[in-house]
Amino acid sequence: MIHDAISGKMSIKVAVAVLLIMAAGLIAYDVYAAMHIRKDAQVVLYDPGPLGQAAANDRVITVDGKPVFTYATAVNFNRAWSQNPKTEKTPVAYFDFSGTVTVKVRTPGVKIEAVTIRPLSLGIKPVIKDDTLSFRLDKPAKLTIEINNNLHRAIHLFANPIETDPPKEGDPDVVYFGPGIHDVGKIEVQSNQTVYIAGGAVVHGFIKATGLDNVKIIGRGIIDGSVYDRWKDGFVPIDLQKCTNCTVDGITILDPAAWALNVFTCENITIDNVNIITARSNGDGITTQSCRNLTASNCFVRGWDDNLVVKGYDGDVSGITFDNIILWTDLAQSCEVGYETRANIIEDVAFKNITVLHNFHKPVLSIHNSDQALVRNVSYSNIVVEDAQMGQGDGAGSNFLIDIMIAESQWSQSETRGNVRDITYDNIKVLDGELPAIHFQGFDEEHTVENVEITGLEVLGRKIGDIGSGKFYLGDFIKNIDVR
Amino acid sequence: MKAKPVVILLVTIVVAAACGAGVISYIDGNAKTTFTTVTGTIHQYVKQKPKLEPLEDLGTNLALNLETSSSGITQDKAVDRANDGDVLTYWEGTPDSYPNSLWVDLRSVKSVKAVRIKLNPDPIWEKRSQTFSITGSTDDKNYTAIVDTAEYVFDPDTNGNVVTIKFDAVDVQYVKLTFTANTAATAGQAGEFEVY
Repeated sequence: MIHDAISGKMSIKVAVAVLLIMAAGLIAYDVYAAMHIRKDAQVVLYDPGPLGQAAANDRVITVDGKPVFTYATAVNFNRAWSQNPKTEKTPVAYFDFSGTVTVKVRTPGVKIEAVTIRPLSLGIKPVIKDDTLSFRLDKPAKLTIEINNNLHRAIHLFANPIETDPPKEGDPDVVYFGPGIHDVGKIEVQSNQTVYIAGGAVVHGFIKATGLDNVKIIGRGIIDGSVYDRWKDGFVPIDLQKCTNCTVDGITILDPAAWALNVFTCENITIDNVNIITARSNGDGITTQSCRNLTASNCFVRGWDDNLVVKGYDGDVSGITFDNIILWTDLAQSCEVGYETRANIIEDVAFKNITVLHNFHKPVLSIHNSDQALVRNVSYSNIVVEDAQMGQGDGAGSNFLIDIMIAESQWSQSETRGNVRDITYDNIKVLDGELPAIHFQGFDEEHTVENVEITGLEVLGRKIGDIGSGKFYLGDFIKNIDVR
Repeated sequence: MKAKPVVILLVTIVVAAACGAGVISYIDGNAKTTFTTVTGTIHQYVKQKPKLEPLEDLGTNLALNLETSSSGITQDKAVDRANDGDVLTYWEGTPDSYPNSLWVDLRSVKSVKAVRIKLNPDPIWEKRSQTFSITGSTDDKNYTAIVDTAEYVFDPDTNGNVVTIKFDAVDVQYVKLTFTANTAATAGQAGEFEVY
């Protein structure tokens, strides 16, 4: 009897324990599911219509069951500069949405074994079944989807927010490009005008605005430079020179025959939600030269040359901010100040919330002062390098996470060298790849790198709280390097 | 026996949580998607070729493929592109650094009577004015005026982006263009720099 009573109590205890576990598990699931409950969705899909160029048919993308038109654009896996490098194609697709949507990707004839969706910070773990992967999205994102650990044919998917109040064809002061193919060449624009490139538009052309005020270049469409020869044409798709109060928003630039987006001696410029993929020589992404008060945010740049650039060609530089930008650096630097630093002062430059998906070539965060400028107050914060592969090809010897160098270069024009002062790095993380170095080098006693502060540096899982615990290459003529 | 209410409570919670999961799943599965699909077409842009007068035959271009020099260049617009015989490739001076100079060495002193500057004739190279002077030298040190600074219009619609400047013949080995303005760029440009 005693045995039975004990046994009965035990059974109840076991039952209570089992029920507790079940209740806790179910409640946890309910909370999780309620947080991720699918909301009614609105989706805008864009089909350019008859393209005259091959789309990407080996990646079939759908959103809530409807097909998303997938372009094929040039990318470049060469890790050494050459005049006419061989390129290859990769898929690019975009749509607009609100609510919660399910994205599916099918790879006809190819079994999917593994998928990496970047940026990793989004934590997207797709469901994989045979030749199909699927995942949910409940907010706009710029994704790369790497299938079976292969960077070739990685999908570039730009899931945009729904446009608000887009202009209509015929609106005054609007240069309108509707959905479809436009072989337009030079796009004429005047002050106080809007160039609207609608979703589904593919514009073979370029905008060179000189001395204009209050110009907007907006939409969801593509400026495609693939029809132009790199050397005979060399048109920059969006080229703003001596302009003020201009906006570039929502545009995608593919395969430019030169730099992608150049802003030269301009003031009060806003660049938002711009996507850039370059493959040919000198395919710099967002280039700012002698600008004042410029902000570029929420952008994606994959480039076969410097991705984000601050130069001082003609006039001082101040107030340049790059914020919330995703980079894939096939060649050269990810975030570069230099080499042309002919301004007297380059100051108040901020790179923040930058994710570098891959860098295969040269330093991630670099200041190359090869002219006369005083470069001061440059800050880097919340930088994540997901895959650090710097130093490949002719980038050998440049496996630097951080590089500050005052030196003469092939681009130098000033007779004297400048200085670098007050540079801060905060919360910089390298998640994977090869161990990169940090390099500082002044020029001489009069031209030095001074006051550099590094906090929250973590490389390949190791916190670097002092110079001794990191891979630092410290050259001459540097002072006050503080690593905490 | 006291444990019974606890068991009942827990069973109730488990059942309620399971029902909750079912409700959530039902709501989740019933979310609607509204689609808008935009489809494009091919837009035609008719480009009419301008009717241009044929260029006057000035004889042999003395500068073709000879050594050229300049005060500087923009990006990749190297100086030898100015006389490589291909008008689609071009030299462009250092941005915003006027004056920009471009000069050619004819290898020996020659009688020169005209200079012709060409830019890409494609209409996407818009109409522009370039301001420059022409000087000459026999030693690349002492240059004297051949044609004073003047403004020249390059217009794909009216002159095919070609400007020809004739002058009284001079004996020189070096011919130099010195640009001080360009209404469509921040430096002087020359697709072809021809000397006759």
